[in-house]
Amino acid sequence: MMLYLPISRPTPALVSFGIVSAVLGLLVCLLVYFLLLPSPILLLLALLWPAGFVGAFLLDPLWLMKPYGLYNRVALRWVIPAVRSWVLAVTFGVVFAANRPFSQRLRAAGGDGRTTWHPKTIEHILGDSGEGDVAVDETMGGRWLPALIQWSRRTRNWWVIALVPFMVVLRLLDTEEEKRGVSADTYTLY
Amino acid sequence: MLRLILTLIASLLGWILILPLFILVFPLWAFSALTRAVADRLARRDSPWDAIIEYEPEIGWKQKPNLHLRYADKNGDSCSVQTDGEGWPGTHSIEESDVVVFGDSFTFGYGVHAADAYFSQAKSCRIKGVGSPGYNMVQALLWMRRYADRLRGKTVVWFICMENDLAENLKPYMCDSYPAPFLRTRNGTNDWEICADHIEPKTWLERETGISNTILFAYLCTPCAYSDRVYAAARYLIQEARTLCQSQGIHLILFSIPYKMQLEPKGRAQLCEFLRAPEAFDPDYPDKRLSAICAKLGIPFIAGTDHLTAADYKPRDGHWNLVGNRRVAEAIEANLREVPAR
Repeated sequence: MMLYLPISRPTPALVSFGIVSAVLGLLVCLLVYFLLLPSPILLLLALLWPAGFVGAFLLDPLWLMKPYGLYNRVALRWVIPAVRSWVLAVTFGVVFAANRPFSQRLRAAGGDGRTTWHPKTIEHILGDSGEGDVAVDETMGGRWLPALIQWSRRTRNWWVIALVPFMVVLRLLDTEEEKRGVSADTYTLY
Repeated sequence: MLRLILTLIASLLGWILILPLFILVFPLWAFSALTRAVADRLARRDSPWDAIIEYEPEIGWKQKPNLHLRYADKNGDSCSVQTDGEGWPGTHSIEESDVVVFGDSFTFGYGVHAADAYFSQAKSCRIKGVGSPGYNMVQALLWMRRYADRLRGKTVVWFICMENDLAENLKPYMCDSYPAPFLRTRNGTNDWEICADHIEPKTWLERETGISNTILFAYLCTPCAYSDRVYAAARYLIQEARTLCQSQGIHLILFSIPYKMQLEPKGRAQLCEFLRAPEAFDPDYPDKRLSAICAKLGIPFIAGTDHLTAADYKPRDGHWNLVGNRRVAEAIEANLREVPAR
C-alpha cells in the first residue's frame, strides 16, 4: 500500500503523474458536473485541467517536479506518519492491552542502585525455545512471515498470529527502501 | 487458547478502529498505485543494462555487438543505442571512420538517442566512439593498444571525464562492485603498472563504500598530495598513449569533459564545502594540470570548459543533452580543421 511516489523522480513516474492527474481531474470534474452540480464552470474546468497539464508539460517537462514533490512531501511527512501512529496506537492500546493478563511484568530496577543487567549465557547465544529469545530461522532469508509463524508454532504462542495483519500494514507503510540514495556515479551494468 | 481468543477479539476491535482511516487514505493509495502502474508500463519498453553489457576479459565490460534497443538512463529517460559488430556505438566500423573517440559514457553517447549523440551529429567527418559507461582511462588505453593497427593514420580523441575518470584510474572497481583495471605503483618504486589480474565475469559481492567521486573531484581541484598522485597516474597513461600513437602514426588529441558542478556557481560552492582548505579550490586546476602534461608531451589539448556550459548538460544528470552533443561534435570538427594534413 504505497501512499507515495518514487522519491528519485524518474521520468516515467513524472510523465505518469501528469497523465493520471489530468485524467483523474477530468473524471472528477465530469462526475461532479453530471451528478451533483451542472455548472458550466465545472465543464470548462474539466476541459482546461488536462489541457493545462499537457500544455505545461510540452513547454517544460520539468515543471511537474514541483507538484510531484509536493505530493510526496504531504504523503511522507504527514499522511504516512499519521496513519502509522494510529495503527501503532491501536495495536498497543487494544491488541496488546488484551494480552496484559497473560504477560510477565518487567522487573523494575530496585532503589538500592543495583543493576538489573545480567551476563549473557550460552543459552541466549545459541537460542532457546522460550519466549525470552526469539531466534529467527536464518535459512528462511528475509521471509519474516513464515519465520514468525514457525516460531509461534514452535513456542505455542498462537496469539501472535493475530498481530500479523497489523504487522503487514506497518510493513506496507514503511518507507525505508526509498531512503537509499542513488549515488551520482551509479550504473547497473551486468 | 483463552489468550488466542482474547487477542483475536481485540484484533477485530482494532480493525474496526483502523478501518475509517483506510477509507480516508484510499484516494491517496489509488492515486499513487495508478501512477506507479502507468510509470511501469511506460518504462517497460526499456531494456535492462544486462541486455546491453557483457563481460570482457582484461577490460571488465563492453557493449554487446549488433544491438538496436532502448534503455533507461539514471533518471529513467528513455534513450536508444545502436552498436556495430564489435559492440561500439554507431553502425560504421573503425576503418570507415576519420576520428575514433575513446572514453566512458560520454563516448558511448549515454543519455540521448543514438541519432542525437555527438558521433551522429558531425557533418564534415565520420566519428566512431569506442567506449562504455563507467570506463576509466586505463580501460581506454587498453582498447587503444588492442586497436593500434586499425587506428593507423587516424585521429584519436581521448575523452577524459573529470568527474570520475581521473580518480577511478586508481580504483580496482567501478561503482563499488564492478572489477576494473587500474594503475598501481610497483613496490618500492615510483613506476606505474596496470593491474587487471582481478577482472572476473561477476560483480563483487562485498560492496566497497569508498569516498564518492564528487568529494575526490573537489580535492583534484586543489594542489595536494592526493591530486599530485592522481595527475602522476594520468601522466603515465597519457605518455603510454602518446608512445603508442607515435609508433602507429596516429594523431592523438585530449578532450577534457568538465564535471557539471564545475560549470555552475552553486556546484562550485558545494565542491568547496568538501574541502578543509576551500581557499585553495580552483575549478580550472584539473584542466591546467592536464594541459601542462599535454604541453610537455606535445599532445593537443581541448579544454571542454571552452566549449560547454551547464546548459549543455541534462537537467538532472551529469551527461550532455542534444545541444551538448552538438557542441562537442563541432569542437572536434573545428579542431580537425586546425590539424595540418599529414
